Amino acid sequence: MNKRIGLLSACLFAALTAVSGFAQVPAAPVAQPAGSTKVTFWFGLTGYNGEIVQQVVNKYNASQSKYWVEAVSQPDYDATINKLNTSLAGGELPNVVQIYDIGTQRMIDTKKIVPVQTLIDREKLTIKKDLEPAVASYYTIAGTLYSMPFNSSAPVMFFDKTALREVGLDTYKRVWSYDEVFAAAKRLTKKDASGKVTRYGLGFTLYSWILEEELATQGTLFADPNNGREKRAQKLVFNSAEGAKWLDFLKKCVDEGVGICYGIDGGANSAARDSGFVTGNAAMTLNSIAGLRGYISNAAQAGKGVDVGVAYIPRPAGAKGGVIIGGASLWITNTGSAEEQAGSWDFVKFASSPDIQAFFSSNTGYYPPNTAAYNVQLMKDALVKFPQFQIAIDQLHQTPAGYPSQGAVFGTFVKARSNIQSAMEQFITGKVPTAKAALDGAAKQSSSELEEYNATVQ
Amino acid sequence: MKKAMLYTLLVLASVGVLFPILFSLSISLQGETVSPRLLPDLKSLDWGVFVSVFRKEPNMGRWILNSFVVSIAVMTGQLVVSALAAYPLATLNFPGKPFFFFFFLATLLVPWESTVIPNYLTIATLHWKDSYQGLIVPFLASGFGIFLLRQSFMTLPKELYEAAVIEGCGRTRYLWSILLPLSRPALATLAIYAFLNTWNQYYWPLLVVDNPVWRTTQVGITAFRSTEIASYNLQMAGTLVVMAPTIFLLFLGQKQLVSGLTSGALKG
Amino acid sequence: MTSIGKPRSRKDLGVSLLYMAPAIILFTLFTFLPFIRATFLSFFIVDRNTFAPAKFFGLGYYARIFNLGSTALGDEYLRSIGTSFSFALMTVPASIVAALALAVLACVKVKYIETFRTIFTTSVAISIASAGVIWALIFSPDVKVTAWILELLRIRSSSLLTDASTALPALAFMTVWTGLGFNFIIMLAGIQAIPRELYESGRIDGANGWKTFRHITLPLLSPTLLFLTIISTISCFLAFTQFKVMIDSVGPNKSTEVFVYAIFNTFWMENNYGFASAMSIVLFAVLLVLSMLQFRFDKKVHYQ
Repeated sequence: MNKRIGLLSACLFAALTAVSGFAQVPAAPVAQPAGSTKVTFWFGLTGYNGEIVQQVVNKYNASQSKYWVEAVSQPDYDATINKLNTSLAGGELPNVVQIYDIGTQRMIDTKKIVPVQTLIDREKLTIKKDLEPAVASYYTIAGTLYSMPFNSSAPVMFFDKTALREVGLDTYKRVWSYDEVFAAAKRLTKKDASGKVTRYGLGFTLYSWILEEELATQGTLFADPNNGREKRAQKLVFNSAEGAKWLDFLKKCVDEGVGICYGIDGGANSAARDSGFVTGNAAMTLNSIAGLRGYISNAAQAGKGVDVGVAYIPRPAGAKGGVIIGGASLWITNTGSAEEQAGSWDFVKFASSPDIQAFFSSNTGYYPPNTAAYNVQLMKDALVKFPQFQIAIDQLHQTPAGYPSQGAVFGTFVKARSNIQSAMEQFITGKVPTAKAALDGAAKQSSSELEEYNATVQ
Repeated sequence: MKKAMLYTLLVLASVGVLFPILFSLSISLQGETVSPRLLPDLKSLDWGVFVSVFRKEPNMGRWILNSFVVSIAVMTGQLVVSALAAYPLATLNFPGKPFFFFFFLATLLVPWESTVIPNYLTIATLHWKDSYQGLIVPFLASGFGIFLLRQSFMTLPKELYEAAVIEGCGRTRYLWSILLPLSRPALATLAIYAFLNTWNQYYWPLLVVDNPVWRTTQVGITAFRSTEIASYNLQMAGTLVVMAPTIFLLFLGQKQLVSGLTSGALKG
Repeated sequence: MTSIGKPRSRKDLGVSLLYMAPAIILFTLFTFLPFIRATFLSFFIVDRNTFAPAKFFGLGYYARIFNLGSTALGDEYLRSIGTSFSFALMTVPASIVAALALAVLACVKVKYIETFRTIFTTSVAISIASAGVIWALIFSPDVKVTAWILELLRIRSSSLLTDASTALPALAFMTVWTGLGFNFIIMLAGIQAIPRELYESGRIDGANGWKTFRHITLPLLSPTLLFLTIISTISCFLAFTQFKVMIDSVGPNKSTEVFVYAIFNTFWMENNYGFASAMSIVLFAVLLVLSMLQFRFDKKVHYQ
């Protein structure tokens, strides 16, 4: 018996190594050339978009032989910054890391960062004038550009053109007020004979990012003073009447049976929202424009006739503000040899060059932070093929500059988001009677956590 | 009649127990779809998904290998370390013995989860992240193992030891060629527990692995799920792939497993 | 406790230390020193960049856990400990009953019973992480498997895992399944260890199936039941994997924020190392109490 186990285990091992060996061939990236300097790069995009990041790295490695970038994928943006934070313990940091927008202040506070501003200044580069102004201003804190924007996005409202046409709604309308969205959702909601809803007007997750955007559309601040742009933020002020207005709108949609809430954003809940939209169970939803390509292909695959349209994110009637960019940027750490540092910067420059930006944006749906990318044929073709992108770009370009649309920076943003999302949930599920009370609780907690954080970093 | 009823019950219970596995197989074979059904269309089963899994995640094979390496190493290490520590506790009489007895007993009272932060810091400072030693070394000693083996060693008559010493048998040889062979059931129990516990570990590998190459199957499969969150067939096929080795071992060594798990757990 | 009646000797001490050295070193490095370090860190605000204590905080973090004094955090952590207990309460009795039912069923003498027994042990071979991936999909609204439960309970949420009233029970159900194989094996062995003659004399006395089960099987199985209850309770209290894999947050209205997950969150996501250390020490204390209860009850069941 024992012998048999041994033999079979040996066979199993052989089979395993054979399978892994065989499988590694097709996806093999460029091998490290002898004598080259290795640069480690962590990224948090996954799935289809993650494969495009890997291709950018492959292109870089194939383009020259002095440096070799090892792309290390992390499960998501959250995991990437968590791993980076905890890696400070052993000091083994990647040379370059892709970090999401809200990690900005935390990254600066690690004191392990080389601001790309110093590298740009050293080489007297003019790249900053090519950067999308809204994007450049997001990553510039007190006059210093800390990281190189790589993939930028902004939220939009997605809708199913087929459904809108079916109930006689305008599919070309770009700016929707809360009341207009609600009225549309009401008309779009369908029930079967038994009274069960077969199509909701609006499907959404409880996502703090959208609340942040809604504050920006109304020209209000998230953090005090000045969204942390000039001096370190001391207090969180998202518990304003403007913020409560958005929560009230969402709750009204759910209470009136025209909207479905898929729970707090992330993982399986976001997947449920996405599949709800592409299968026609919810006619409108809110998400990043970066989700466009996935929606179009999944809707085609689902075969329920969903035709993906895009509008600006809804706002209260008469709101004068705009949107904050989202997405992620590339950070260079101060670890490693001089060659590794040089290689890191070389790779970051490559990744932000017009050609690569056009390649990345046309394949994913993120904005190219480098506006020179719009002159590349690949990008021009993508805008013709997916005119929905243009709507998102226009939304960004119509945004007035200022602290509200520049977005907030502070060290405990990740936690504040989770506090806000819990508060939204408590309000939507009726645990807390008013939106204001829910947001007040989250703001109080987040402010006290920020205070504790600020005390340790100074 | 009564027999028919019994079989119906047995089959129903089996379907209930196997439901998650049958379910994952069913979803795997349905191709990429956003609204899978409970049962696949038998006319168009997509077996190719098991190849796609390895194409989508070239590290899948490596993850299984990592899990085997780590689990076998921890299992072997626990057997050796526990046997060595249990030996003097069971056979020798030395000053300070009660102290050491309680020293080992105390380790049973500290849950791994409450020392995880300093342990993470230790491993990070040693630069043992992304390595086999980081996954293995912290688990090489087991309080459970020491007491299990001590118990087993103590059931052997002390005359055996005295006789062996008179015969001129060295201490280590006595452990190796007499105590251990006679304690095979306890060793098997410890081996099975150590292997299963290590194989199932999730928390620790989640912390100390940055590079996907070093993931174990548990961390790997959950990362694979978040990468392929919308591809239900790939998620399920990947899960079946990483479950296959242990299910295979279970059906192979079911008898040994059962006797191993029970002889250790139910003493006295 | 002493096994061999020889006098204590200094020479034996040296030899013993040599044999025990690997275990002593490993436990010192990976159990005792870390425990002391965690205790130490729990009294400080810890620098996020250097991991060194930055500012003495006294018992502040402990006060926060037990919601003493004024903090904006409220009773989140106290409730989290409660959630862990609720989870154990939902899981353990169901686990025991399910395993007992399967084991009784597997005792019948029919052909192919061995095959059925093997099937019943399957979940031993399936890790909680893999099971979590599968069960997350079983509960997904895209797969209509559990939609009828939502309708039955008139729940408006999109899935069992996104509703505050059903998320924890759903996880408990999944956990019962993952533990079923192991519990079944132990339970079956327990039943099989009951001497045949007892049943035979019972039959002579005219006892029927239920009566023999009630008066012979159950009482004689009590050590096994106790053993399973204790280890299941402890493992429920330390459960983390299924919460991370299937929920990956504090859950709907924080209804699945079990204590170990809360520690992970504070440690890994919020990088509040001092606070997370304090929570670790509280976890240790809670488990110490559970272990004491175990020690009281189970002298005849486990480790001597």
